[in-house]
Amino acid sequence: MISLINPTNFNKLSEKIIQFIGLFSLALFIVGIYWGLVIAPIDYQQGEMVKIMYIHVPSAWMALLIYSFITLMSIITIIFRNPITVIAAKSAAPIGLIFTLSVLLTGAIWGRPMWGVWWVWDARLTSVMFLFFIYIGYILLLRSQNTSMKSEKIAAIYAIIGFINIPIIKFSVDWWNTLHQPASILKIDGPSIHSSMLYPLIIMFFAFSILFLYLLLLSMRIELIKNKIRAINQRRINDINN
Amino acid sequence: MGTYLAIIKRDLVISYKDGDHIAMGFGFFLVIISLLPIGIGSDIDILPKVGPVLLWIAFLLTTLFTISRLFKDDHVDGTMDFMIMDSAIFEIIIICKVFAYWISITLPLIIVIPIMSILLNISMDLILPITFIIFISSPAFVFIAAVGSALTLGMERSGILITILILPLYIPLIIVGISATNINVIGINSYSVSVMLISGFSMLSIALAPFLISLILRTNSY
Repeated sequence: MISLINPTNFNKLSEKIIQFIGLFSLALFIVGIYWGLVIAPIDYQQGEMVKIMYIHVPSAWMALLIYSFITLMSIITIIFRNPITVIAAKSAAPIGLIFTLSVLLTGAIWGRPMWGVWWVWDARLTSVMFLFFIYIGYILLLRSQNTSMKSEKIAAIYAIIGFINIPIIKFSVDWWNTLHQPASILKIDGPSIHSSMLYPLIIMFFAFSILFLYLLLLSMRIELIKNKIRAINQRRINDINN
Repeated sequence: MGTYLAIIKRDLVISYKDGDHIAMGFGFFLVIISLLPIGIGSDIDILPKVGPVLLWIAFLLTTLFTISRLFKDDHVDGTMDFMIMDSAIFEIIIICKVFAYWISITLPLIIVIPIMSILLNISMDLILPITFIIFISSPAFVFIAAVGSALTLGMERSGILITILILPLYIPLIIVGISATNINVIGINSYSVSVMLISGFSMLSIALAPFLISLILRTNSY
């Protein structure tokens, strides 16, 4: 695990496992989507519409999980100034942005037939929308200056400040009366969802997580290659100047 | 102690000598507030309902657009580096600078809020509560915005970026603040509870923001 901190070791290891991770995610998606869309029962109130849950809920978990991951990487960046964690946080942000967008879109599609409106300004929906804005702000902050340890550290501080939104999202359904239903899986007295729907949901969650890992490794490798190109160009400029 | 008072005095003198900056913030505030009645037109019943929200939004945008200058001049001419290296505590220097900003830009806005409330047809017994709640939330507004100012230091177009970065962090404050004087908004519908929560937010941001800002500015100056 420690040896992964070295970019060269990371490159070697990720090259070996990245194909395997991608295929594993694909297999989980096939199983999860088939189980969720075909085998799993329909809801007696919502009918077939309940099946959007198999995309909506895992996307929401991933949006929160990826932001927590960015925060963790940012803390490590500030303490140890490690190049790999900087690249990990940087690469994870666009993926998290896409998952957040996916939650908002599938939620709107689900909300239209169930609540009668595409969007309501209640606590859960609004706080997720602000997670979307925080992702955008973080990415803009990373891109606004030339790549340097300084700007990456400043973006890391912003990511840590923005983490304040994550508990607000998680507990918004408990603290305020909202149209969005309260938590039904991560509860103290066990999930309140039947196992015939719970198992495909869990498989979809793992499929999404492995997909995130795959995309993360892919974009981290791209970022490392970009860094290498930048270093080579810099060296060439220095040679010309000398 | 003398150092800190001198910094407050210096910042106040600078901002009043260069009065354009204060006038610009003030004018921005008034223009935003006068836009909505123009848009609504003759429908006089809507104005008192949306008036308090409008006051909040105008106040918030004025803070966010004027704060980008807070550390800029000191950063450009190198004073910031001396402040960091000085024997005086840098966090308290930051508090002094933000306090001077609050006196020169925010306080005039708060004073003018009752007058604008009358223009917006807000009922008389709501004017004082609204002004008071904006007054006690202003430290939180200013200190959180100062974090954004530090984050975007040395960038071009920092004003817009500050808005994107910092607005999400204002949400709890806005929800509690607006629901204090409006029973139709989600949240806590009791004035005294809102006042206590907002005081808490303000205290928390006065306590935490200087450390964050100092961390960011130190990172920036190396």
